[in-house]
Amino acid sequence: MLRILRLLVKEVFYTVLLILGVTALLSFLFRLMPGTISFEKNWLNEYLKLLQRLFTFNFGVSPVSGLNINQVVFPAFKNTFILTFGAILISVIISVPIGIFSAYRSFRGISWPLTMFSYIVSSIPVFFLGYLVIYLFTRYSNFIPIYSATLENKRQLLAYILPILVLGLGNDSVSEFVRIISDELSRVMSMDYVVASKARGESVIRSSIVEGILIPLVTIIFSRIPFLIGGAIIVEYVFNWPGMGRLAFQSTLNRDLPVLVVIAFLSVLFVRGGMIIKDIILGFIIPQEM
Amino acid sequence: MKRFYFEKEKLSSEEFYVPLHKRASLRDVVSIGFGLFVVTYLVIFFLISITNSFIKDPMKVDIQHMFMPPSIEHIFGTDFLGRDIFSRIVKGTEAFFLPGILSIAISTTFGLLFGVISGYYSKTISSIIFYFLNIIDSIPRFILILIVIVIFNPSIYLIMLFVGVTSIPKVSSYIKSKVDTLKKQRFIEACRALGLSERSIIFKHIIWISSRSVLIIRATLGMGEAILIETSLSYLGIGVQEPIPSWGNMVAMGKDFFFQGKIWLSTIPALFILITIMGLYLLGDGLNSIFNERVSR
Amino acid sequence: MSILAELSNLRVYFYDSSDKRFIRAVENMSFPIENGKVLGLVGESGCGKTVTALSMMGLLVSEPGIINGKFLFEPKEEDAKYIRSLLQKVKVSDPDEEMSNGDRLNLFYGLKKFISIEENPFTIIKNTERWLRYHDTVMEKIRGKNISMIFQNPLTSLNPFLTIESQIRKTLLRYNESIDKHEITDMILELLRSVRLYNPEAVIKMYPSNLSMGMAQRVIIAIALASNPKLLIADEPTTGLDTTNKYRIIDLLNSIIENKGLSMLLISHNIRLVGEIADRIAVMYAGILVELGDKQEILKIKKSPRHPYTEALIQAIPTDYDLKKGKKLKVIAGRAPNNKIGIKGCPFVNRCFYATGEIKKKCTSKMPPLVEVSNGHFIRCYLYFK
Repeated sequence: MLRILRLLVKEVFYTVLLILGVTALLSFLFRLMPGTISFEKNWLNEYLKLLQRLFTFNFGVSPVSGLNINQVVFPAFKNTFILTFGAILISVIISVPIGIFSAYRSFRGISWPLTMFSYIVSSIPVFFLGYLVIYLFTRYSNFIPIYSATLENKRQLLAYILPILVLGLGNDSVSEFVRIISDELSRVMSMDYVVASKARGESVIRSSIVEGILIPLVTIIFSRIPFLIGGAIIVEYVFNWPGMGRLAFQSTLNRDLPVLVVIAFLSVLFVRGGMIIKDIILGFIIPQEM
Repeated sequence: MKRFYFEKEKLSSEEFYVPLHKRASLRDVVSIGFGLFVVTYLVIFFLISITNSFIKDPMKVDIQHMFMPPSIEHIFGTDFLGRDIFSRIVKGTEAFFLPGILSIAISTTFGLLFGVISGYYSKTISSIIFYFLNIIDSIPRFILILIVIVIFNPSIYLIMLFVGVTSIPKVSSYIKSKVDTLKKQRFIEACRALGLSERSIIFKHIIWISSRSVLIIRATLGMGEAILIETSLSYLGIGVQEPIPSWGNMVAMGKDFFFQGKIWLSTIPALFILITIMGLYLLGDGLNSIFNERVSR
Repeated sequence: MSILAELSNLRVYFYDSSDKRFIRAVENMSFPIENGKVLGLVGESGCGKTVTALSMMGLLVSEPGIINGKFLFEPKEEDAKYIRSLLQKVKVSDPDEEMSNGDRLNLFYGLKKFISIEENPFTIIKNTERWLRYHDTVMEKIRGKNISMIFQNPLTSLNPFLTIESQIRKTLLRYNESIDKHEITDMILELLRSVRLYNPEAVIKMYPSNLSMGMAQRVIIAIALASNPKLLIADEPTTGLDTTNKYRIIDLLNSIIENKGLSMLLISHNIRLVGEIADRIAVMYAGILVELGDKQEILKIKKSPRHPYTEALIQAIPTDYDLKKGKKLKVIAGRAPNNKIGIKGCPFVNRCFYATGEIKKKCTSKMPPLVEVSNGHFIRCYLYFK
């Protein structure tokens, strides 16, 4: 337990250090932009002021668009979080069985076309996949709605389904998950201890589950977060989803750099937070000496 | 059902033998074959495009012949301004070909450089390098690109340069872990014992022999990523913009006509994106399984 | 003398895709294992002993694998019926293929259905996938419960992510359905004490990486015994251990066999070690059985009929007398044959002390048959072939 705590402290410390660096970079870029109204003559002061704003989560008002950043960004973040979380869930649910099929000899006959199919769907560019899905669902039935602020609650819940599905299946997530899981599982299945446990009559899958599935899964889920945020930008655009991605895109069109900087900051927190959680989970699973 | 053939006549415990015909691993051959096919048509398209030969003018507007479905005259039909889609597809490769190569060049060169330095030298130097790399790595790539777009209003080349930069951390950590495993191996010590100079050790053994497979694979995957990013940006309207053709902006422009049944305007470029990216990924995958021999299943 | 298990005419070939050749791993291997007795399988590295054991357990995964043979085994009563029904489901093509002999069932039954060797042109037609899948369903009931196998490196045989306690618990729960939670911990501790680990409370909390080789091997033995098998196959169990531990483990195995009436197949390259506890010894060379007999007959130094290879093996181990006299080590000149090349005749001929003149012609032309030189003692050599 103490070991985990020590790990946690180390990670948080490093993340804080990292964020300091990130904000330095961001404030530097900020300064570079031609035409920025710079209230401070000194870059250092500007940096410190930015730091203060970010760390107190009091982002103020954007001089470019006049938006109250706090009001806009936090709900957007929540929505993107839901989207990302749901997408990860879908990716995992689909790719784990396919990965196991791929690796486990008995099912070899089925796996090849199935794997291929998942690769293909994953590789469809997310913007087209999204549009295709919308087309299919709106043309042929009205059941699953596209998000709009005016929907009543129950229907709104259903609107969650499509973008989560698209982000989970597309964006190359499934193909990467399947590839890594089936690679690791195959590797682990031929390791000595798995063969030894098979010789004792134990199931190969059960013995190889931790190293073959759990560890690569945990690693890759949290490492994919940055990619998912990137994909979310497009998916939110296509589905009109009020998340951080759509906000980022709108800010780009408006040349609203302050909002973008805040979004970048929150994304970094999201990403690093995920890394910390990942390391803690792995810390529990993997015994000390390894 | 597989058949194994024996050459010699008798199969018994006294004498028997030998050689054999067996098919090679089908999956890898297909992956690599398909990937090479994709690379081939990319190169051909690109060459055709920059030499402006063999194809119709991709910019030529012809209102008389709008929305024509695929035919012999126009292999992929025409778009909403009567422009020939096939020639626009070919021209569209220009949008990502050189920029993509720029991005892989940057990510592999600097990735290799940083990876080797941090792997070979002390832990402190390594930590410092990775601190800076992690700063870049922590910001989701797309958001960084958006910020860059707002600040610099860049051309697609500059954007791809940044994409390359954002890939450096991953490549570096890959290379560094390779260097780490190599360092532990005895043959490095053996080299030193033989008196080979440090530099020749680094260059010859570590970089060239061990990393080249990683780098080639990273290059193919990196090209795939570059294409994805370029087309996504162009789709959103902030990459390559009309009237210059990019597969991304073709999909965007064509999508409005999807409902009217004129699906080829956006489906064809989307298919090209799909096949190209998939081909590159399969190529990388296939090369990976050849170079990094895994235990067979 | 009741025979628990009998392996007959096992033939295992592997396919080398880089050289495009078959490797003859095991050829015409047969031996019986008696109830409550230990059979030692001796031979140098690469002679095919491990492959034989893996074939018996159905753990071979390389192609082609087992292509011929019969393995009669008497499973536990509760499993016999089920396995018999599994075997009956297979419709064999060859009516001579034996499904059972008394209470013993042929675990390789149905092999010919999936794998057939045609005479003209000579082909092995294989349906490896289906054979493996079918064989797996049969072997699932055998592995652990009826036959347990332990391997050379105990540390890599344990799951590095689980504590010793969880690993033993898994096995116990698997084979004893109704156990109380508190009972289980006691059972685990008792099991560890029975393999002479005297601080089991500490051991169960450890991870495999905390254990020494000797401790780990005892844990492995404990787990193998937890399921109460009828036959234990030990593949080089002492090879990775230091000398003191070697004899301790062998001693432990000996006492376990006596206490539980277990049968064992002990595989090793060290004939002396095997001689400590084996009742019968089988000697293997280049995938072929060259001698099979009681321990006394084989290890006797003077004047008992023996295969030249066995004799050379025993002579190669220096005795105290030799050491005192400062004599040279007797080595067996030459190298083991490359199994990839087709071998005509006896594989030991190039290194055999006795293969000279007249006899050599016979040795190089055809493989000598097994000859029974005395009751239960078989030797495959032209020296004894009349």
